[in-house]
Amino acid sequence: MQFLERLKVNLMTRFAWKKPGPRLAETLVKFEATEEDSSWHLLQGLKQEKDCQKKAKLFQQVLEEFRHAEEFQFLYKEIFAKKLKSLKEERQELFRKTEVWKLYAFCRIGEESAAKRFAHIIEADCEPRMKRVLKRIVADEEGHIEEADVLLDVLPIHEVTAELRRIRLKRFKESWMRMGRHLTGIIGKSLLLGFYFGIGWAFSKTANARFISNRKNLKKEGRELVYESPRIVF
Amino acid sequence: MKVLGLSFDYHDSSAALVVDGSVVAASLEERFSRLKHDANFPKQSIEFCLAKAKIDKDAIDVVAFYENPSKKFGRVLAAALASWPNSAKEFESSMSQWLGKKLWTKTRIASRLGIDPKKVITLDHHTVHAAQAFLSSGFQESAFLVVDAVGEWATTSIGRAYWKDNKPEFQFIRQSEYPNSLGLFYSAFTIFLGFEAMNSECSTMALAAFGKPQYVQKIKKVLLADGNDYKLNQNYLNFHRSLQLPFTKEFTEEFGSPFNGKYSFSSFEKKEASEEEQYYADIAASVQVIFEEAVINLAKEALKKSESKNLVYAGGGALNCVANEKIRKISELEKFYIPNEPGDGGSAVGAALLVSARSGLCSGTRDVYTGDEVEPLTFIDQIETKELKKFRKKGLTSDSPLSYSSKTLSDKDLYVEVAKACFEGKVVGWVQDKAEIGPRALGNRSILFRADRRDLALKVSKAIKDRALFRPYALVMNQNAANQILEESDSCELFEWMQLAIPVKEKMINEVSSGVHIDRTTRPQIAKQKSKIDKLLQEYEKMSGLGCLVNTSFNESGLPIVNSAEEALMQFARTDLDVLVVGNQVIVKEFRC
Repeated sequence: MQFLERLKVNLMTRFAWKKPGPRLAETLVKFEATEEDSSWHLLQGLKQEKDCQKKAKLFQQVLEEFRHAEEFQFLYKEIFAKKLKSLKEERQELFRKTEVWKLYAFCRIGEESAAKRFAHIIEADCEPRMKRVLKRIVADEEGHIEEADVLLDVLPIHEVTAELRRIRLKRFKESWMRMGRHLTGIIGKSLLLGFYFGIGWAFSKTANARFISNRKNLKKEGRELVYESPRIVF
Repeated sequence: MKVLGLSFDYHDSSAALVVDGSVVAASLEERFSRLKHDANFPKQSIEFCLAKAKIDKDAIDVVAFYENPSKKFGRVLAAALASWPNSAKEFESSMSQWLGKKLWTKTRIASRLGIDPKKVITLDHHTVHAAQAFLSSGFQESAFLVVDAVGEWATTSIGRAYWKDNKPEFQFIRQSEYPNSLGLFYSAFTIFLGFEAMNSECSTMALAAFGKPQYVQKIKKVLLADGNDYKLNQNYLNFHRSLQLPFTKEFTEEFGSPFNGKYSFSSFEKKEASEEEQYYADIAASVQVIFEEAVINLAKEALKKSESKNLVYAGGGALNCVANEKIRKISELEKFYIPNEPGDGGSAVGAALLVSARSGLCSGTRDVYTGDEVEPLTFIDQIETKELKKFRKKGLTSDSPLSYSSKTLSDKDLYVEVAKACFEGKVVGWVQDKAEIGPRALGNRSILFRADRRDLALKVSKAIKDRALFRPYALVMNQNAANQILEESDSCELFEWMQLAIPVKEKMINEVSSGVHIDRTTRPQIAKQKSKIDKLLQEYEKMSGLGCLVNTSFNESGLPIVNSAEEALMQFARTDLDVLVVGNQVIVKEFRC
C-alpha cells in the first residue's frame, strides 16, 4: 500500500503538482476541506468531552487544524490570485456522543496518513510554495499523533487496537468505494453526454417553447381566476 | 400532531419541528456544520429538533419538504436542453446531480430518517413561502408577495391569503416564471459586481449607496417592464447556460466585464475610489433602483388585486431592507409583515406550519430564538494561553503573550460590567440563550461595540470579521434611543428584526456614526423590552446617555454565525475581540508586556 501511495504521489507531483494549474487548484481545495473537516470533528469531540484538561488540549488542536485550512486558503490565493471556494461536503458522523475516544482513534489514523502523504509530496518536490506550507503542517500533524496517543493511553490496549484496525479497514474500503464512484461517474457522464448529443436536439425545441410562454397569468376574460394551492393528501 | 419541515439541496438547509401548531425548534444546518449556506441534508438540525422536543423520529406524523422536486427537475431539464448544443457541460453536471440524488428526495428522506415514505410529502415552493409569512403574521387575511430567485418554475407570486373554517387558504393571483426572475436578475448583477451569488446580495445593496443610479435606463434593457410584470432579456442574461456566469456577449459589450478586485469604498473613513470602482457602484445603485421599483409595483398590485390593506412578504427578495422600507411607505398599506428568515432557510418552518395549519393547528408563533441553547465554558482555566498566540488570524499576531481571565457574575453585575466594557471602547462577543434562526444576529449571537467610534468599526471589519469596509454595521437600541435616533420608529417586528433601512436624524449621525451607512440610514433593531440585550442597553444608557450599540452577527467572513460557546471562543482566540460573554460568564483577553 505504501508503495502504491508513493507511486501515486510521485505521478501526481510530476504531472499536476509541480506548477500552478487546475489539478493543483483542485488539490489545494481538497486539502483545505480535509483540514477544515478535521477541525470540525475535533470541535464535536471537544463539545462531548467531559474532562476539562482534555477539552483544553482539544481546543488547541481545533484551532491548529483550522489554521491549517487557512494556510491552504492563503496559499491558493497566493498562487491563483483568487479566493478559494470551499468544498461543502456533508459532515460524517465519526463517533457516538458517548464514545468520544473513538474520535481520538480516528484522528490518530487520519493525522498519521496526512503526515505521511504530505511528507511524500514534499519529497517528490512539489510546487515550492506548496512545499513550504506542507512542511509546516507535517510538523504539527506529528505533534497531533503524539497527542492522540496520550488521549488513547488511558484506555485498554485491546480495545484501542481493535478500533484502530476497524478504522483502517473502513478507510481502505472507502478508498475503493471512492474509486468505484469515480469510475461509475465517468460512465454516467458518458451516457448523459451520449443522450445529450444523440437525442437532446429532439427535445430542445419543446424545451425552448416552454420558455416562450413563461408567464403564468391567472387572470382570464376580465374575471379573476384564482389558482388554489395544491391540497395536501396524507 | 408533530410535523417536521425540511429544506435542503439548494442552499440554506434547515429543519423545523412544529408540535400541535407551535414551532418547538428550528435551525439552519450551517449552525451545526459550520459550512456557510450549507445545502446538505440537515441531519444535525433534525437531531437537534427531535432532541429539543424529546421525541423519537417514529413519533413524527408528517415530514414536509419545502418544494416539489419532480416539478423542479422539469425546469432544470428544460433549461439544460433549451440551449442545445451549447449546454453539454451544464446538462451533464445538473443531470448527474438530479438523477443521482435530488429527484429521489422523498425516498432519501424516508431512508435517512428510517420512516415510512408515505409520511413524506412535498409542497409547492411559493406556497411554502407564502405560508411561512402569513401563518406567523397573525393576520386574518392579507395580500402576499413572494420574490425569490426561482422555486420549481415560479419566481414571483402575488396572491391573497385568508382563513376559512380555521384553515389557511392561499389564492395565487399571478405568477412569473423562470427565467423571468427578479431574484436572478439581482444575483446576476451581484456576480457582475465581483461578489458571490446567493451569498453576497447584501454587498450589492451596500455598494449601491456609494453610487448614483445613472444606468437605470441602460439596465432596463436587461429587465424589460411589461405592465406590472417584467421579463428578463435573454439576449443579455442566459441562465440556461450557467447560473454562475450568465452573461452573454451582448451583455459584456454593453456593460463590460465583471469586476475583479477589491473595492476601496469605506463606510467608516474617507477614501477615494477609482473611476472603475465608481462605475460598478453606479451599476449597483441602478440595479437597486430597478429592483425597488419592481417590488413596489408588485406589492401595490398584490394589495389592489387581493383587495387587502395587509401585506406579507417572503422569499430571498425580502432580505433587501432598503426595498422593504420603500414598500412600507406605500400609502394603501396598513399592516406589513416579513418573517425573520424570509428566505429558503425559513421555509422549513413554513412547510411545517402549513401542514399543521391545514390540519387546523396553528398558534401563529413569532419566536425567532428557536435554535440551540448555549452552555457555559468549563475549561477556560486549563487553556495554555501562551500557546494560543500562534493560532491568531494572519496579520494579527502580537508579540505580547495573551492571557484570559474568566469570571461568572450575577445578572445585575453582568449588565453593569458588559455595559462598562462597551463604554470603555471594548469589542464584546455576546452569546446568550437560544440562537436566532435567521441570517441576522438579534442579540443572542452578537458582536457589540460603541456606536460613536468609527475606529472600532474599522477594527471589527479588519481584525475580527474580515469584512469589506463598504459594508455598514447595524444598530441595536432601546425605545428611548430609537425615538432620539431614527426619523421614525414603531414597535412592530420589522423594527425588532432589522428588516428596514431607516434614515437617521441629522443631529444624531455623529453619535451613532459606526452604525450608519453612507446614505445616512441604519438597519435598526429596537430591542424587545426586558430582553437581555434591552437590560444591557438600559445600563449602557446610564453611562453614555444613549441606549444604543452597534450589533453585528458573531461570525467571521465565510463562516456562519457561531452556535455554541466553543465556536465563540474560537473566534475570540483567533481575532481581536476584547471580551467574550457566554451567559453570565465573562472572559477578558489581556495583552501582557
